[in-house]
Amino acid sequence: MTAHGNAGLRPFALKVLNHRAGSDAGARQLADAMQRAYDDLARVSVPLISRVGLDALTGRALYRVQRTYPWLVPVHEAIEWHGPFAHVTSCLEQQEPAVAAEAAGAILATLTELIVTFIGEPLTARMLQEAWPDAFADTAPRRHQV
Amino acid sequence: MTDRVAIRQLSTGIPGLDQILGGGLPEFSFNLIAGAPGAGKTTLAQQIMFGLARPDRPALYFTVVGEPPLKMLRYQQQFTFFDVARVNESVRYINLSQEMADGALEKTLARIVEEVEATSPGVVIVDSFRTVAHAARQLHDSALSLQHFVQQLAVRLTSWEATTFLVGEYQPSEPEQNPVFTVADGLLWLLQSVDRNSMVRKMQVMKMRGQAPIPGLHTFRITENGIQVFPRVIVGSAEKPRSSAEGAGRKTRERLSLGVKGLDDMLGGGIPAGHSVLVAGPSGSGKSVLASEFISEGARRDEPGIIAVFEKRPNEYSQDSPSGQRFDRLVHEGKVAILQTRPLDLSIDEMLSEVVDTIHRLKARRLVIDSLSGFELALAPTFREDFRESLYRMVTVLTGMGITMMMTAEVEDSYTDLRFSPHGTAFLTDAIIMQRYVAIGGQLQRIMGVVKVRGSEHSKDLRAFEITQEGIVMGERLGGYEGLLTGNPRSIPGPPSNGG
Repeated sequence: MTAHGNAGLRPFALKVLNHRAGSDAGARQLADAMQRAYDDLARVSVPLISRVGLDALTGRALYRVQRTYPWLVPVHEAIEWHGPFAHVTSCLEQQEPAVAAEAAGAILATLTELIVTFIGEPLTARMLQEAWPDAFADTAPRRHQV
Repeated sequence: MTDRVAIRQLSTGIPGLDQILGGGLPEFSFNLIAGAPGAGKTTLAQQIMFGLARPDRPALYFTVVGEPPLKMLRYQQQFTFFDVARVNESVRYINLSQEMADGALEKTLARIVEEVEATSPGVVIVDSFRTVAHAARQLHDSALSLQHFVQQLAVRLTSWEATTFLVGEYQPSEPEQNPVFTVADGLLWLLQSVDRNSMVRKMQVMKMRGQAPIPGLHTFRITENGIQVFPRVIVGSAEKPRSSAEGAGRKTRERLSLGVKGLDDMLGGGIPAGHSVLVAGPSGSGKSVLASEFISEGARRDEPGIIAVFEKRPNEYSQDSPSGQRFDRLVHEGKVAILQTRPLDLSIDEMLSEVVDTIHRLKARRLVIDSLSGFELALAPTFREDFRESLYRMVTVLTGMGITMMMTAEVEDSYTDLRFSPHGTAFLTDAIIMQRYVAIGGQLQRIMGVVKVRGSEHSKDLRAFEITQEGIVMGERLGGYEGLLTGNPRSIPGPPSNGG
């Protein structure tokens, strides 16, 4: 599955963002929502897969998404100075809201897909339920459907 | 009521492990799982954790810098014991990399204690503790020495009623110098024993305070179901006769029929129950046929049996002949079990474990090992060197359970000496049946004789026999010949006739 192959996860990722940013959010609100969603994911995933593990998968996800959104900060630069996610929000803030939402959704979807690849769908689903319970209120994520 | 404190033993859920620990894992003990990379330490720790964790007394699995948790979770999920649904409920993973990176053992200890106090776990695992120890040696400015850290950890975790496992890569030379080994209540050592191209996993309980583990090296296997330990059977302590009416009591009274008319009489009325019988003969002489008759006859008499096959394929026992079809039917009816064991890397204890399980399942009374040569080949090279000792343990344990055993052994047809087994194992058996070829009248004929039946009269005859569609048919005593065992018998002239 490529960055374009996780289409099933993108609506779910966008739902996570919408829950946090609200409807008609601007790029800044979307960037904030993205950061909070990522922090929530880090809170539950770091004990399980370690900070190094999450950073590594985040770096890989950004690298893949960057092919479609080249304005994202080069991954190696970001990792070197502030961790792989440090400049994502500032990059998102500079985009049109629709583009920012698409890119943020792609990042979360790709990151989720990578976690599933390594630790499996059931464990990832349990982790996401704890990180983003609001997004599970009316639906359960499935790798290829949500 | 006793004045002694009672130590509850926890069942690990790992087949065979509780037994070698001496009955289970002492509750609140502080243990070390040690071994080289790839020995199975993490798998053992994870399996114990999933076996013991409960929602009200969860397990905490602290990962340090060793195997990246991302990879550990990926690989451990391949085992059936890894229940994803229990993660974050009765099983919690906590990564301590940050605390270790920050540099002080106090921080690591504080974080562990904080999590333990918040969760009140029943089980705590630190993997890899070797990483913690290694970091401690490099942190000269740490206020806490490794020894102090280990003692603090042991006291804190035990006082919070947790049973603890430290997992670490250690060399066999280390226990003398390392404080962890001194503080630990229990020490499980895992190793891979390599001999030629074969590898056998072994486990040793080097200590387990408060109870008596089974000494020695125990083999274990890792499959998709996790670890299974095969306790080293010590003669005299493992299996007892099923009841006083069976075993030794039966041994002197009851006789088991072989199902071959005439042969039971030669044995003095059948094989004494609980005896071991060696059937020795050259290739094709009919050893396996006799063995299957022995098992079939038992099944007909409501004495279920087991054939452990090491040379033939199982379906070779159930051929198209009437006797083969009968045998096949007995297998399908569950009166006979055929064990075809994993070849070339077996340990005697693994084999024994499988046989004993099957004996209990079938309530079996008869067992065939076909053949000793195949059995020896099926063992890992490291066990072939002490094959006689291993066989002795197996025969003693199984006959001690009241099982009547028949073992086949292929011997070269030597006409200058009389051999019964290439393994020097004939002395282990209670009875010996010999099969040979002789040339009579320009034809090869099969002959059979009973060499010994311990504690019993038996026939000294050598009798011809044939293998027919119905099985073995005993012929007459070959009384008119001498030198039968030379393979080239001479006819003994009859008494001169009166007219002569």
